[in-house]
Amino acid sequence: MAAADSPSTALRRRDLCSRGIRLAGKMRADVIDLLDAYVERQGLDASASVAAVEGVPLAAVERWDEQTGTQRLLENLAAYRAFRTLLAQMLEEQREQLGEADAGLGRALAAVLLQVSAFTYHLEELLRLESRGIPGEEEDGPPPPPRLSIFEQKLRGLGVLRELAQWAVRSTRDLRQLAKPSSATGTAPGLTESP
Amino acid sequence: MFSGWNWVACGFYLVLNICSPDASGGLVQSCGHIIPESPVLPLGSNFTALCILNESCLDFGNIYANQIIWKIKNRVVPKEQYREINRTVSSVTFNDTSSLGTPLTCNILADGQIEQNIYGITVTVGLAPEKPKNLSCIVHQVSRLTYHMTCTWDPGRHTFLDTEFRLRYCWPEDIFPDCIPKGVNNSCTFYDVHFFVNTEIWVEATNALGKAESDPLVLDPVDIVKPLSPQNLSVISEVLPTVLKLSWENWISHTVIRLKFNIRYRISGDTNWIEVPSEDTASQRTSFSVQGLRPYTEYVFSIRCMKQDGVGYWSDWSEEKSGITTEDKPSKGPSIWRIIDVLQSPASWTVHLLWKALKPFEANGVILQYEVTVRDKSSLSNPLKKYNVTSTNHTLQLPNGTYEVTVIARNSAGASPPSVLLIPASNSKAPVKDLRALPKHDKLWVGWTAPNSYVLKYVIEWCMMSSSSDCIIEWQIAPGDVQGIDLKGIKPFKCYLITVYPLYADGQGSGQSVKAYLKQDRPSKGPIVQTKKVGKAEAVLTWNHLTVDEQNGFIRNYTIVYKTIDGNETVVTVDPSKTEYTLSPLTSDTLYTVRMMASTDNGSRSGPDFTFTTQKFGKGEIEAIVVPVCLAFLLIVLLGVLFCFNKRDL
Repeated sequence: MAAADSPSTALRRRDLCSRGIRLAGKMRADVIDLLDAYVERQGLDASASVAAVEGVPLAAVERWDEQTGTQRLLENLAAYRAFRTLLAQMLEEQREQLGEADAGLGRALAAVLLQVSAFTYHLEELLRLESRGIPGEEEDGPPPPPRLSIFEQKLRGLGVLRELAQWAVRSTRDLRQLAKPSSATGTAPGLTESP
Repeated sequence: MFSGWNWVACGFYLVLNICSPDASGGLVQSCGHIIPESPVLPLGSNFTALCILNESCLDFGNIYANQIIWKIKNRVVPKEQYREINRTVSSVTFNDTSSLGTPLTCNILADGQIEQNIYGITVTVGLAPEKPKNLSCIVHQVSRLTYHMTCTWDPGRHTFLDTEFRLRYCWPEDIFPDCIPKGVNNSCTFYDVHFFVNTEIWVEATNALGKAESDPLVLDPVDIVKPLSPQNLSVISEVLPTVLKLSWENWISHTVIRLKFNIRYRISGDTNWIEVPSEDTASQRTSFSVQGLRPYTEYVFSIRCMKQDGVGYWSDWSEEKSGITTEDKPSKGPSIWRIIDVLQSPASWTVHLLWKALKPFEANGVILQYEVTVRDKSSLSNPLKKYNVTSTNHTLQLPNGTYEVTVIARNSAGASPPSVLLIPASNSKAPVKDLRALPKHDKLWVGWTAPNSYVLKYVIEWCMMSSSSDCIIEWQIAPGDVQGIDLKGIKPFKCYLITVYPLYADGQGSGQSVKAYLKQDRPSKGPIVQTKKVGKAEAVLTWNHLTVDEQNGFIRNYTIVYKTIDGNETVVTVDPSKTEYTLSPLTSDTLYTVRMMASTDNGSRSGPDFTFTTQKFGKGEIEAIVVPVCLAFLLIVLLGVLFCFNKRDL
């Protein structure tokens, strides 16, 4: 059971959730724009279906409404940390492939990467407010994936951006849930609703 | 004493050092050096420099620290500031670096009183940077997707040194590249702005004497945005004549900020803006219908936006766009009046109907025609006469009678309410009383006392009287509850004939008239006087009244001035209604000069002189002398003849 929030904590949570929701909204809009540019610059087919990419967290979840606030925050944090690594990798690959020839795509990728970093920070702050320890980033991490061909890199990049857009939608819903006054992070919603 | 031979040896030694391949760096080795080398000193502080002589220079003989002379540029530093540390070191102290110039040189007065420079340093004096203050930032939206953040600050006092300013900003977990101002020291612009994260911004100032940091500014850049103004504003006329619909494009994405708006508008040609209440436009939108406008009127609109919660800055006002409301039927009928000519025949009138064109806010559109209806009230069997007229007057020939005239103005949206004028057979009802007209600044105020009966309205006619042109009537309607109005457009020095008619529900009062001037002047000409008849002791003078164009005011009196050549002037004042006057008594057989002056309230003007001579003899005087003289002569002759006859008889 989470302890009752002090007014300042409640205010800070509301502020972080509010800005996080707006950041998620902007991030989604920017990722959609980036997707269009990425598909065009990389010479891909926009309707190409990409199988689940290893290491890319999936936004879809079963029994979303049964999750506690803390579970939502932790899942979001893990996802955005993973996206941060994946986007940094994409940025490096894009620079190797296209170099300075496509600085615009590189700048757009860098801007989204910054937004993902900012969102990660919001999530860490929210967890601190819950007096939860921030799980450390795995230093060892999963073993580096086998070196992909250029085409496979491009497809993986497509998958990363698509899934990131999905996560932006999910994160908005998660933060809205968290921002509700009746929502206490330690309990699943629906169990503490007053009649 | 330093001998000349030693000097030659010294010079030779120096030359050898210059030319010798073993000389260090190929330069002459100095005899000493100063520490510190090229210092940067705080203004107002104290400073001590040391001049250290090289041992090798001492070999030249008699060169010691006590012979050192310090100089700033070419000025010798007072010896009180020197101190001999030892045989080879001299120091100089300055208590206040404000007086310290550059360069500071160490010189030696060698034997033979010849001053030689040993070493010199440049001294720079300045101040450490003050803490930058009043840091503030604004995010300008430059294009649809591009934002620049410009920060400004107060750099503090002038430091007299090269001082570098850096604008720094960071997130809690990320640091961004510094912004270094170009060409200025009080502002810098970041070209990469990220929203929704609390950002810490501060300024660092650094120079050779120290470093200072401003207080940090912690903000989310989304809270300091000045958006681009709404674009592509368009104004569309609606079916309703009092509504115009605006639509526009917002160039800032709703994912960044949701907007609220200010809409302002003015009538084209007017300078006063009216604002739509802000609570009506406090939410994100791309169109708005402005209501409560005047029909058939051109309005100019402009719009601006800012973040909906009011945090941030308003955009600039958008480009202005115009639109015209649709027409509505006229809101009132035109004012009607009539001028009746009865000159041709009292039983038949020439009636000139006149009406005023509606003002734009009454016409509500383009008036296409006026519909005039004339009804003979004295004979109901006579049919109604209707006329469609495009001008603002209409002339009719009507037999004497009572008529009701109705005028309706019509535009493309419909017809005005009817205006009605009753033309009675005679103006038999009560007129106004105490009609007067007085100047009031640049207008002529006409006032009257209302009659006892209820008056619907008053008609005031006025025309400018002139001897060279017709008196063209102008007219105006006044409500029935007033007892005075101002007439505009009245010219000074011109006589106006003003007539006021009261209009009743069932008739009309007779007109009362008054003449008036807005401003009077002296007459432009004087009266031309001449004699009608001149006698021995009197003369009858005659003149014509000045024309109304010559009068320039009400003639209050005439003044006659007459005199003989060597006599005094005599002045006589005459009533202005007169055109003759008899001067008497006059001296007979005398030349008189006479002139006349006409006077208004604002001055007088004299006419030309006229001379005349009185007669020597009065009327009948000659007969009175000649006849008795003749009779006396006759009598004498007769007596003489009688006497002669008497003598002969004897």
